[in-house]
Amino acid sequence: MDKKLITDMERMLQQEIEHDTFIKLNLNKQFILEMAALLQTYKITHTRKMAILGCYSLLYAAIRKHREVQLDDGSLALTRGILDGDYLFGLNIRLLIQQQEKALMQNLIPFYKKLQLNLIEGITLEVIIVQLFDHMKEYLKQHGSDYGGDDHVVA
Amino acid sequence: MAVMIMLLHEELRISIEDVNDSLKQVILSDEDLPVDSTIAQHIINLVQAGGKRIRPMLVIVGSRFGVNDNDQNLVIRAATMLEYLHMASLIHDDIIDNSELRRGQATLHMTTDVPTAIHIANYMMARALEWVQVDVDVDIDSDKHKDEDLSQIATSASMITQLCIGEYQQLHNRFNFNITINQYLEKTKNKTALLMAHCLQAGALIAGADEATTQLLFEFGEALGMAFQIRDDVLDFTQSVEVIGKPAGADLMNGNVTLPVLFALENVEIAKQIRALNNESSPDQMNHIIQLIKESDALERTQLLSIQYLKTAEQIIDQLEKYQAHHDLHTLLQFFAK
Repeated sequence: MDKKLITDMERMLQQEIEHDTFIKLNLNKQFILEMAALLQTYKITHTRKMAILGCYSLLYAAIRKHREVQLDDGSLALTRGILDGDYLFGLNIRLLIQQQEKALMQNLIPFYKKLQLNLIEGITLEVIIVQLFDHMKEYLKQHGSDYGGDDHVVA
Repeated sequence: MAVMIMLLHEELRISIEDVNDSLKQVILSDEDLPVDSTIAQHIINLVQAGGKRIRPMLVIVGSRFGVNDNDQNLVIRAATMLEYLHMASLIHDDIIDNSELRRGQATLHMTTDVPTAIHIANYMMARALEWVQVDVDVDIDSDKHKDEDLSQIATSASMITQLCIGEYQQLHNRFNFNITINQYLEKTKNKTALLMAHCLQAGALIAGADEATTQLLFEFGEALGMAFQIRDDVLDFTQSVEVIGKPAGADLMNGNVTLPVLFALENVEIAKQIRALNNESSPDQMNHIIQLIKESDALERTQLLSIQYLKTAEQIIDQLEKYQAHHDLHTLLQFFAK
């Protein structure tokens, strides 16, 4: 079940990503699996689970792309890293609008902003990733029942 | 240059002080960022360094084609947010282009470092998007109306992907002297013109303009944006470092094949020398080619295409004559024609 959700989400994102970018998403499987498993504990439609998981994955990928450019001195890699991060963040906004995830957008954007301040302060990517997961977990706890299904079904 | 900018906003009856105040307010009102922090100061400095503020002006002019008079708060918010997206994208562009100066001042990554500048630009994008969505219901009676307007503003923000596509197209074609004029125009549209079109469209939609008018304003903005960028590509060859903050021919030095280069390539003798350029060419080689391009008819031909786009824009204004605000479009057109 989790595997189908992840496969469908990855297919959706890969269809959305324009050819000119040459971006191949290389998502952290464990990281995505944990969120997919969490989403399965909520009675949310498959389509919306895909959207939430997709936005989460895009934000993760955008942050990682921008963080990783700092480790590389090559100008081409630097350019690609910056563009990829910008594009994935923009795509995240586009997906949130397309999927009418207004509440999620109003929640995620301010959090993404805080993560940028944390990154400037020198917080490591590993910690940032945990913060992102915890934030999504809290969002689902508070808003999971707003998606038309029943309340949280698994503790 | 400064006199021309003053004239533009004055002729359009737009208070540039209000726009700048709004740009500062985005940062000063952020509870997550102390006002006296270094990051806040960097951003305030960027705002104070100025800029043409073309995009906010386009949003405001677009709103003059609508029927709602009470949404000035939202119009200014959309204008502010779109200018932030532009400012943030310039920070990333400066890193990509390795530019040391912008408007005669050190670029942000030169003042801080590359990673910090990347994250400050990201912060600016996210903060502007956050800011545009909070406390907007002060002047708005209808929640439904507010929701639609916010969706419109957010949709404009997703334009970031198009800006990136233009940059990707430029990146994939560095020192590629075989690109076609159509490829150049497509890149120019994505990189510059579409954002300007979206600015006019956003203003029009927030103000409740009808669909046909909104579409015409979008097309006007696109034509204007094309003319603007093409002329900018000419200025890259003709202006000095003192005027544009970067050396003449900086685009070519970075491998960006712009329209003057494409026209110069039609001259067999110059083409041979241009095609020999690559990212390891010496400054002397580059400057020699830049001089050859300046002495050819390439800049004049480029300028002519820019004028063609301005004529297209003028034809669109003719279709909007029933609106008093069509005079403002003429003002914009004249500014870009100078």
